[in-house]
Amino acid sequence: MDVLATRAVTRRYGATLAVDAVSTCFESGRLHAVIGENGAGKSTLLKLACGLVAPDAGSVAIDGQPLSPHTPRAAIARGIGMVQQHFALVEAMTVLENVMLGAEPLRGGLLDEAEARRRLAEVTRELGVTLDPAARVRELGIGDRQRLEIARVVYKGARVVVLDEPTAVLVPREADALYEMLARLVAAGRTVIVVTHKLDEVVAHAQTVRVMRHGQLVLSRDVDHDDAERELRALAAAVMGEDAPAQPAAPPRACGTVVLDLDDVRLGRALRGLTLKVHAGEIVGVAGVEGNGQRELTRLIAGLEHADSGRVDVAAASVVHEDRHQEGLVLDAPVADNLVLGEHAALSRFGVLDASALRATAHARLTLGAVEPGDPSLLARGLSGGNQQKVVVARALARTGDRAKLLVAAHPTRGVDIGAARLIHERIRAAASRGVGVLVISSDLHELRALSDRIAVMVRGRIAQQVDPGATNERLGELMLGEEGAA
Amino acid sequence: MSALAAIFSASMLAQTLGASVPYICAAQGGVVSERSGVVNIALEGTLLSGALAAVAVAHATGSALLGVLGGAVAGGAIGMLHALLVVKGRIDAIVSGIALNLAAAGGTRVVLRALYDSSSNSPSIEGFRFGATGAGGGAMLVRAVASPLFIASVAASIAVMFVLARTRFGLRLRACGESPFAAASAGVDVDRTRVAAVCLGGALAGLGGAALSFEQHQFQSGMSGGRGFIALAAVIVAGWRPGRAALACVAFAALDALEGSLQGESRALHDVVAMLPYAATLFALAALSLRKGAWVAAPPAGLGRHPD
Ligand SMILES: Nc1ncnc2c1ncn2[C@@H]1O[C@H](COP(=O)(O)OP(=O)(O)OP(=O)(O)O)[C@@H](O)[C@H]1O
Ligand SMILES: [Mg+2]
Repeated sequence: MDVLATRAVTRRYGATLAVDAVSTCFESGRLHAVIGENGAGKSTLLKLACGLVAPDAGSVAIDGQPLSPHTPRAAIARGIGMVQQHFALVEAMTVLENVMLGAEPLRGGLLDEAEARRRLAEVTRELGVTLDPAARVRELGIGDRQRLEIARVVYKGARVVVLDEPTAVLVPREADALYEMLARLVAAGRTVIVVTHKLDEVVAHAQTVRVMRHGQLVLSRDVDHDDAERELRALAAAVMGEDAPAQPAAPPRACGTVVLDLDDVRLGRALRGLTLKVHAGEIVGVAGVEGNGQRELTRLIAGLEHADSGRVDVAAASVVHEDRHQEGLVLDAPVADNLVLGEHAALSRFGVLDASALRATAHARLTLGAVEPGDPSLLARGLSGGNQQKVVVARALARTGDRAKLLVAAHPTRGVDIGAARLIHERIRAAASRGVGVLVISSDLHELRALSDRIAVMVRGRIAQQVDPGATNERLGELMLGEEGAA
Repeated sequence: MSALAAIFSASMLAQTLGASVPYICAAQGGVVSERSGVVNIALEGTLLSGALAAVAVAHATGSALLGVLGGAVAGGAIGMLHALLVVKGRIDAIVSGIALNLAAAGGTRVVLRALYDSSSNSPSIEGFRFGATGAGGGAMLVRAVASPLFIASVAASIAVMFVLARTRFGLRLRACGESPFAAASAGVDVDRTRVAAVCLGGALAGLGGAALSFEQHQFQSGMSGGRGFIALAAVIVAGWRPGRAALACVAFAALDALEGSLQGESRALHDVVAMLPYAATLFALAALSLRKGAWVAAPPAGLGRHPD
């Protein structure tokens, strides 16, 4: 039985055909994966299916009946719920208020918080998670926010739970826990649809896979679980439209002077005596569960925060912040301006912005970063999540070398497809071989291992230990959780 | 010593409470509107229009109660206009607010002339008749506290607190103000919620206008005299919280009363006292931007933002 189906849905944004006449049926009681390059139209397709975006043509059917009116409210009422790529929570409100919002139980005309709390408890029991109903969202870590989003969707009675890149922000252990939770939903008869760039997750957990490219559905089939290696290669090829190019050998590097020297740095409750050194030409990885001070570390190096105590010696740094929407982009400004943010003075003559120089610089960076669509006049808000990330990274990379001696990259490939992620890794290595010191902060252990010369594990605002990138996942996992017993 | 005694006398307190009513009502209107995410500087014009409508209806019908109702309806209408321009028409809220304030200033003069053939004031009305008579401070205080409009303003403050915290409409309203995107994703109709909130806020401010003209027993051209802006200042100082906003309004009204008691003092002193509410607001905003004093709360995160 198909619980959710799209019938030749089409959606345009200006000149971009984001979703091009896609027809597909999602059978109930299974875990479906949707994959594809950045800007392929995955998010748009699922937003169409959940009523968040109206189609220009075509329709969406739930249990065979068309979704009408095409609003999120109607979709929620018919049992379709979505956890978006960028979370849609009200930060200033409590967990319980966020859960209730839009589906408030009433008693005598007033909010019935007791009833809501009881139903939330039921949902969290089904999901096997714990959530404090009285906690403010602002105080929650990424993992809890995601669990809250899922709990909320289930609370509203979703039979179909759609998740857009849920694991992009999670460390491997949390990602495993997430899939356990999703498996529990599927076992209970619900349907789960997941967008991801991590193909190993597809092979390990999904029953069906759909591949999108340039707005079209180019492949839709069951996942072959027999030969995982072969399936991984097949999916990678399907995503990129060709055989994946071999990874080039890393260029040789020499370590030079110290470009980042932090000694016993303290900052509020986030950094508690952090000591770390990075040399020119070296790539240091920082592993850790999100919320252990990484954000503050990045902001400190960028000069957005000042240490309460300790020594901070930073060479001119170029930074990719953790949250592309908070610190990375001016969403309502054109991509061109975002690409040169902070360099407007250098692009001016006699105090007047040199439009052609700006255009040329932006264009070069756009091309180098492989941002799609390559139109610098679009607003940054209109780019897909992965392409927004590419803009932020392209800008930071372009500044290394002559100006910046230090590159700090927090989650540089978050939400970026595999082809573009490789490109970014290559360019980070190239920067290091030109003598730039690099600090990579990531929750993706593959990424850290692939890039780093050494990995510093960050726990509760300090570097707990520095290990060789050859360390096993288990060892890193233990260290990240502060289980020092193994040391 | 005698000055101090004057400040804390019963008659002074009575004057303060009387003067606080328009501020409190307008501030609650501002809280409701801005907590839903719509900037509302049209409070000034709303007060003025409410003041005239209340007098006109009371004069025509002879009923003070209907007059008050008329003030609230006129305020609600202006709120509705502001909401439609800003929420549906996506016009900048400051532009819409300025336009409505100018329109109210001019419009009330036109209506004044048309109805009463006067450029300065309406005929006088009786307003509510109640309570103790007498000129002593105690009697004045009793009159101020027992005044139906004072009671209404206190009730409105409590109601706003209650609605925001405990009802579905309040929850949705706050969500729209904090994050219109999140609210829309949760299935809340952001535009409709905001229109309702701004309209309700206008009605509350219109009630304040009625209090203003009833206090004087007539309408005078331009009688709002910046009170809408001061009420908005109270909202900001109070961190957009209804209870604190009401207290801030009482404090600002005390300055009004103080200024009134300064007869015979130098002009400069008058001006300094009149300036204090604005100085307090600037101080609060400075503290807010420095993120020091936790006593100043940040504005709703979605203030002035649309859901998409
Ligand atoms: N609000 C918008 N305004 C303008 N263009 C948009 C908007 N949303 C999406 N697009 C465009 O539609 C196309 C598809 O975007 P979509 O977000 O669906 O991609 P995606 O497959 O989810 O990519 P990613 O993996 O990077 O998240 C992109 O070219 C994007 O620029
Ligand atoms: Mg996407």
